[in-house]
Amino acid sequence: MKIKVLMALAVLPLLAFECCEDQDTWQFRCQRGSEFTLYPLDVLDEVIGESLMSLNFVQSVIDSHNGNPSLGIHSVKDRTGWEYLVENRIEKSDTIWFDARRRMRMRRSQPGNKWIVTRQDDYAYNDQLYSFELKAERCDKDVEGALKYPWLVTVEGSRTENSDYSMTYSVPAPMKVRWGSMLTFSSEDIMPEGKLLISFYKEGKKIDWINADYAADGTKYETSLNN
Amino acid sequence: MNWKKLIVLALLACFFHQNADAFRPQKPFKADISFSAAFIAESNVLQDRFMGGYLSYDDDFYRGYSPDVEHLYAEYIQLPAAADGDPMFSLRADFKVLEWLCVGVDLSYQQIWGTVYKGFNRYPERKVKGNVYYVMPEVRFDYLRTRLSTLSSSCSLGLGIYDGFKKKIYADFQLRPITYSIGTVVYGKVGVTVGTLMNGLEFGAGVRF
Repeated sequence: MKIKVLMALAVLPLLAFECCEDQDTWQFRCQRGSEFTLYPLDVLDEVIGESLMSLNFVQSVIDSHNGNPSLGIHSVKDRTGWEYLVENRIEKSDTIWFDARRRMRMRRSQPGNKWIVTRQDDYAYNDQLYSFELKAERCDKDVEGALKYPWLVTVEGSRTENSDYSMTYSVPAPMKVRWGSMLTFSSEDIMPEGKLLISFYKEGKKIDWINADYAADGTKYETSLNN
Repeated sequence: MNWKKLIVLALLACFFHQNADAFRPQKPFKADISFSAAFIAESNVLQDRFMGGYLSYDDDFYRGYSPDVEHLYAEYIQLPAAADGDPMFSLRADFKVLEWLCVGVDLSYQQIWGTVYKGFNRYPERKVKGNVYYVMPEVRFDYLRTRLSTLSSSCSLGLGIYDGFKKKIYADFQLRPITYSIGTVVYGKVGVTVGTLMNGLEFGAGVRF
């Protein structure tokens, strides 16, 4: 009996299984050697683009209710049929708009009547927690399409990660943002004009920076990184 | 009698002698000392321990939609392909305690190396090496013993000293489910080995007395 048990134990197979690789990654989004451009791109997508998408939904609800929308959840469809939800509610006698999917809170500034979009992440996808305040003003209509109004935005914010490193970003002077594709709402379609400044920190100390200058004829980068 | 007949007779005599040996009991012994080298692949456990102080291009670098700031400054390590890994060397001394059972000590050594890269720059910065010394008590069970050959299984459990790793000491085990040996006092052996150090085939030689 003991012999059999010992034999059984001796031939226990020890196999390690490798899981399949995740393909939804950023390695296909830029050329080798210019990976640093992914950081300003992330701010454009995740902060500016996503905020303006939420604002576009809210603004289209307000426009479709002749400037007087009811409280509660409103749905907005883009031209491809995708439906988005935004909520209008009163908080401390302030009118607040909320996009739960993008975790954006929107309200009007007093005075000035600018839109103020804030996001304060308490959980994160990929360990990246965003918190920022974006001020936006809708420009006059300049093109036809689903998203006909460009926005003028300024931003101050940060992104912390599950490490000693973090980054801050700011758009100090108003940046004009248009949408490239008029069919869908996608933050990757935005066409900015203006300057975006990014700083990298280690344990609270600034170590590097990137300045991205977006213009109609292309993007210029300056950076302290040795890439 | 010419020399051809002599050779045939000698071969026949050897053949019968070998076969007779195969069914005769093993020569008694008290101690069994052997040296072996194991090949094929370092275990994933060992590789993970070595990579513990670094990020890996495969697992960390491309993870997520946007790179972390850490990715700009982190050190990455790439290990060589399994076929380029180094063998594990073992020196084992076993002592017979029961008819079928030996206990002893297994001293093993293995080297592992990798190439370090920094940040987005995928040019190699430097090579790093790790040396691992294992001291493991061992139990061996012989389930077939004849004059000439044996089949056995063994299990080693103990500590490894990890030089060049982030953490210096780990618990380790190594199982050798089937080892075949051929020879009497001096013998050669081949077997399968799996565990935290190495998964592969082991070849060695030893002496019983």
